[in-house]
Amino acid sequence: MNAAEKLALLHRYEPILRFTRGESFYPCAVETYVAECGLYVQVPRRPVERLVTEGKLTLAHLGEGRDRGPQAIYFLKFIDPLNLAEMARYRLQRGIEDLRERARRFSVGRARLARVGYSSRILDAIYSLTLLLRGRVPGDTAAAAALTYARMQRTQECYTYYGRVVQEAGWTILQYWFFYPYNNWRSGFHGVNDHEADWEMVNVYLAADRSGGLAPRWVSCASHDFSGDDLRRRWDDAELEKVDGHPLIYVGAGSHASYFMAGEYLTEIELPFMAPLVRVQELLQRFIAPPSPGPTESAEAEPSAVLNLLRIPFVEYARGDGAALGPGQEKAWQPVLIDPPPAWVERYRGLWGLFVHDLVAGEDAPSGPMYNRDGSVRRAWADPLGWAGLDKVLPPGRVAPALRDEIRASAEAYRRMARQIVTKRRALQRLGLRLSAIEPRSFLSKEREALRKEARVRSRELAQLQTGLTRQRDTGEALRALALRVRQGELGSPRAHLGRTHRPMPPLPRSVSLLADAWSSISISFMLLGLAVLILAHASFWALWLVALVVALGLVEAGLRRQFRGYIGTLAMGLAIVTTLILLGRFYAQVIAAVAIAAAVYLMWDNIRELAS
Amino acid sequence: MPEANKRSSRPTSRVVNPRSLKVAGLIILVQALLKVAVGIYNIVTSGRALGGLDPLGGLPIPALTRVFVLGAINILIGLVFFWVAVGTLRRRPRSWVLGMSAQSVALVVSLVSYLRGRPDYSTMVLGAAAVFYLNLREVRQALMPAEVPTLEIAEVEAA
Repeated sequence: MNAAEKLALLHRYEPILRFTRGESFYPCAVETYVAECGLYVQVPRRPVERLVTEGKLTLAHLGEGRDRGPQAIYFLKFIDPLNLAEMARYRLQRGIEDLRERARRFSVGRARLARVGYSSRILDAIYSLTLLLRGRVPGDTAAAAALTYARMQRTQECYTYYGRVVQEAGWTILQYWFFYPYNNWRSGFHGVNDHEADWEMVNVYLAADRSGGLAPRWVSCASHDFSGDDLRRRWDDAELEKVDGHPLIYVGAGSHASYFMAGEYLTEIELPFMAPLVRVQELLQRFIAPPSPGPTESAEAEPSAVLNLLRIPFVEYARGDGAALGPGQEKAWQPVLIDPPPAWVERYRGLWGLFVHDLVAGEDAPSGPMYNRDGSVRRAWADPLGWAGLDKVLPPGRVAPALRDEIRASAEAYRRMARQIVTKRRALQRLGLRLSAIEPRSFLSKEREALRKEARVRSRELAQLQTGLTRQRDTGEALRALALRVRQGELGSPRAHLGRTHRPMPPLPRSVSLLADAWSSISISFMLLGLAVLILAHASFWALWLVALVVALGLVEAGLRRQFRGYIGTLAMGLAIVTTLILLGRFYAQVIAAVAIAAAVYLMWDNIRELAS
Repeated sequence: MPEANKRSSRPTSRVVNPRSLKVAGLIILVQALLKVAVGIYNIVTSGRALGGLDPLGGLPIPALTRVFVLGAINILIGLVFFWVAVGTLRRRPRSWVLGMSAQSVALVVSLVSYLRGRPDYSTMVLGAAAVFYLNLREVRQALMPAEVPTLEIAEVEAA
C-alpha cells in the first residue's frame, strides 16, 4: 500500500470529534506548536539546560536524536506564565466574551462532590493540598496557552490528525493521532491535572469482506491510561454512532479523553497510599451489604454506582455540545501521514511539554505518539491489536477456515484420546487378571502389593483420560455449533466482550441535583465548624458528639441523594457490630460456655437420635 | 361442578415467609413487649409514688416526673416496635427502613447508657440480633417485593 492509498483509506474512515462547550484547545499541527517551544534537558543533579531557544525549534531538531544518558529527560517548554497585567486583561476579555456568548460558555453540571460521600470529599481536599507540595503546572499557564493557541490559529487555522496504517494478523488498523497543545482539565473543568501537550488516539480496525475489499469492524479510542476490551466497540454496536460511515467520538473537556457516548462521566482516582484501605473497605462492603438492587439492574453497572469511600471523584464532561471536527462538520481535517514514522516521531523520546517533576506524573507533559514518559514504546503504537484486546479476535474472513481447522484438530484429539483409553483399559484389565490370579497365594504378597499399587495408578490415569474425553467431546460440539452460527451469518452479541464499561452518569431530577450540589459544597465546612464548636465548648464525650454530628450530616446527605435506605442499613449494622463487640468483651466467658453447652446438647441429641433409629 | 367446589379446587397462592423473617419479626415483637412492659411499670410506680403509695415516693417530684415521661417514651417506642414487627411479618415494604431506623435509635440510646455506666444488656442483645436478622439478604428481599419476585407455594408445588 503506497502513501496515497494509505491517505485515501485514512480519509475514508476518519472520525468526527465532538467537543464540549468551553473547550479551548483542538487538534493542531505539531510544526506550529514546536515553533513556539524551546527544547530543554534535565540531567539529574544538574540545572536545567536549554538546548534550542523558543522560536527557533523545528521538527528537524527533535529528530536529531540527542543522548545525554539514560537519566536525562528532554522536554519542550511551550508557555511562559502571564504577568499580572496580562492575566487581568485575559480574565476581563474572557468574562466579556462569556457574557456576549452565553450559549458557548461551559457550565458545570452536577458537582462531582455531590456524587460521593464525606470521606471522598475529605480526600479531595487532601489531594488539592498535595498540589501545593507536588510539582505542578503554574496556575496561569492555561490562560497563556489559550492566548498563544488562539494566536496560532489566527495565523493559520488548521485541525490536523496524524495517521498511520498498520497491517497485522489479517487486520488493517487505521490509527488517528491527535495533538493538542494543552490539557486544561484541572484549571478549566475541575479535573485531575493540567499539562502542556496532549496526544490522543482513535483506531479503526478493518478486515476483508466477502468481495475482497476492506470493511470496518471495530473502533477503539484512548481514554486516559486504560487499555483492554472495554475500549473498543464493534461497528454494528448501537452505542457507536456514525455519520456517513465516520465514527463519532465525544471528547472530554480539557482532558481530551475519548468516549463513544455523550454525557458526563465520573472518573475516580485512587491515591496509592490509600490502596490497602480501599481493599479493606471492599471486603467490609461485601459483609455489610446495602439493600440488594433490583433484578433489572444490569451487570454493566457504572463504577460510580458502587460506594467508593476512599477514591476521589472527578467529573469528565464529554457532552458533545461544542465544536465538531471532521468530515461534514464545521471544520475539516488536514491529514498528515506518519507511516513510516518520521524522525520526530521515532527519534524523539522526550516530553512534548513542560517537565514539572510531578511525583504522580499527572502534571508532566506526555511523550510523543510512539513513546511513554519513561522512554519505552507505547503499547498503543507497537501493538494496537493487543492494546484494545483484539489480539484474541480473528478477522471475520478467517473465522470459518480457522474453525474448520479447530474442529478437525479437536476430532483428531478425541480419536487419539479414545485410542489411548482403549489401550490403557486393556492393560488395566490384564493387570486385574494377574492380581486376581495371585490373590490367594500368600507367598506372593510383595508382588500383590506392587500390582495393587500399579492398578491404582493406572485406574486414576484412566479416569483422568475419561474426563478429558468428555470435555473434548463437549468442546467439539461447541465448535461445531459455532461453525453453524458463523455459516448462518451470526456475529454474536456486539457487547459480549465488554466487562465494566464506562457509562455516563444517569440523570437526576433537577431539584434533587440542585439541593445535593448545594449541600455537597457546604457540608465539609459544616463539619469543620461543628468540630470547632465542640473544641471551644469543651464538650464531655466530645468524640461521641463528633460521631453524632457526622451521622446527622450523613442523614441529611442520604435524604438529599435518595439513598436513605442504604445509609440507615449501614448505620444500623455499624451500631450492631459495635454493640456486639462490647457484649463479647463483657460476656466472653459466658459466650464460650453457652457455645460449649449448645454444642454438647446438639451432639447428645444427634447421637441419641441415631441410637434410637 | 358447583361454583364453590371450583373455587376450592384451585391451588391456594400464599406467600412463604422465610424463617429468618419470622425470627426477625419475633425478636422485634419481644423488644416491643419488653418496652411496653417497662413503660407501664415506670408509669405505674411513678403514679403510685406520686399518690404516696410507694417507697419511690421519697424521690422529689421532678425525678418522679422524669420516670413517668421515661415510661411514656418506652411505651411509645414499644408501639413503634410492635408496628415494625407486624409490618415485618406481613411483609410491609416500609417496615425494613422503619425497623432499621428504630433499631438504630434504640442501639444509640443503649450505647449511650452503657457509656454512662448504666448498661442495659438485654436491649443491646435484642437490638444487635434484630439488626443482623434484618440485614440478611432473604429478609431484605422479602421486605422489598417491588425489586424481587416473591416465591409462592403454588409455584413451588407446581415445580
